[in-house]
Amino acid sequence: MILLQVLLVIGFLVVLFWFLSKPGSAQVKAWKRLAIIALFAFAIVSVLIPSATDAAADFVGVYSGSNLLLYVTAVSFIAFVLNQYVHNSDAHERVIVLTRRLAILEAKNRELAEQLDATQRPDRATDA
Amino acid sequence: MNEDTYVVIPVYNEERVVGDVVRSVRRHFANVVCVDDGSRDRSGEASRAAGAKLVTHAVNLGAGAATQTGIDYALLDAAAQYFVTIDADGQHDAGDAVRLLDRLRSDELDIVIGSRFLGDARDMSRAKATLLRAAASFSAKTTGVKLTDPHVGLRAFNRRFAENLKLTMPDFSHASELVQRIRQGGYRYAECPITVTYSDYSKAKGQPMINAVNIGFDYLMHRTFKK
Repeated sequence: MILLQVLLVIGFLVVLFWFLSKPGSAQVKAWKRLAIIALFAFAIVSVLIPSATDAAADFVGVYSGSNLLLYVTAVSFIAFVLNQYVHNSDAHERVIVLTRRLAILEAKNRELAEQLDATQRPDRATDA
Repeated sequence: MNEDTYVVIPVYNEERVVGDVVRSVRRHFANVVCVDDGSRDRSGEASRAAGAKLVTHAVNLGAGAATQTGIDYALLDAAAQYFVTIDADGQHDAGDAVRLLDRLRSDELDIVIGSRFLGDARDMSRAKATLLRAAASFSAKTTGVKLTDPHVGLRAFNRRFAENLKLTMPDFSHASELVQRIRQGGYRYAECPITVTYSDYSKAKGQPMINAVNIGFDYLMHRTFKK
């Protein structure tokens, strides 16, 4: 059963990495939603038929149903945290791009206004 | 007076010293760009009063983002051939910036990076020196670019390097990103000894050493999930 556990851990990591590597794609989004639904289903089943989690645990080579539940929760939590991290850094990158554009535009605008001001000043002097 | 060079200074809450820094840099360089990274004090006004061109971030984004903004701004000038970055807190010497640039011009390099360890780091705490050396050897191992001091703020590079730099890591982790670019682009690089003076002011303002954890974490996450 050790082999199965190793395979499960590797499988989790591969799925996690794939999810996080292209967070925007429709495919990944769909799989994330399916995973959430599956998690819900798993939670409901584990409440209604506690013995089912033991059977599932036995099937994948985990000691007991409550352990399996703990593992699934832990993996979901880590996936959630990493997902949030990636989302946050994406949002932050957008803020950076926008702020930079704005900053450079403002600077160039001010320089232009100052140049204009400088060229117009002698005219004003002659008018007066 | 180095008309073809832009000096980029990322500024965050440096009202007290940035004016002097700009004035000392302007003795050697005509074009100085200060990027006020959403300071809460009057750093922007102080920079402009000292003769720098000013670009202002509406919100604080970090030293890496500010550096990149300054480079983007400078690149808009087609006459800009060389770029120098220098810290705003007065720890670097403008004369060193000139030496870096001279080396860049004479040796046909793409980038010259200052090194506190080849030169003279005055009043650097032993703990900080140890941490920086560890970071340097980590950086050399992971990127293959051998630098004694990759996390220094004083550097000079040419237009080709500036155009391809595109720093995306907003914080101090951008130094690691810059080293990564050197490797990716196969740029010709060299180190040049510089003198760094840690005043009580810059010590009090400098990043706490625990920030190394943030830099390392961000760098690894970035490498894992972005490229």
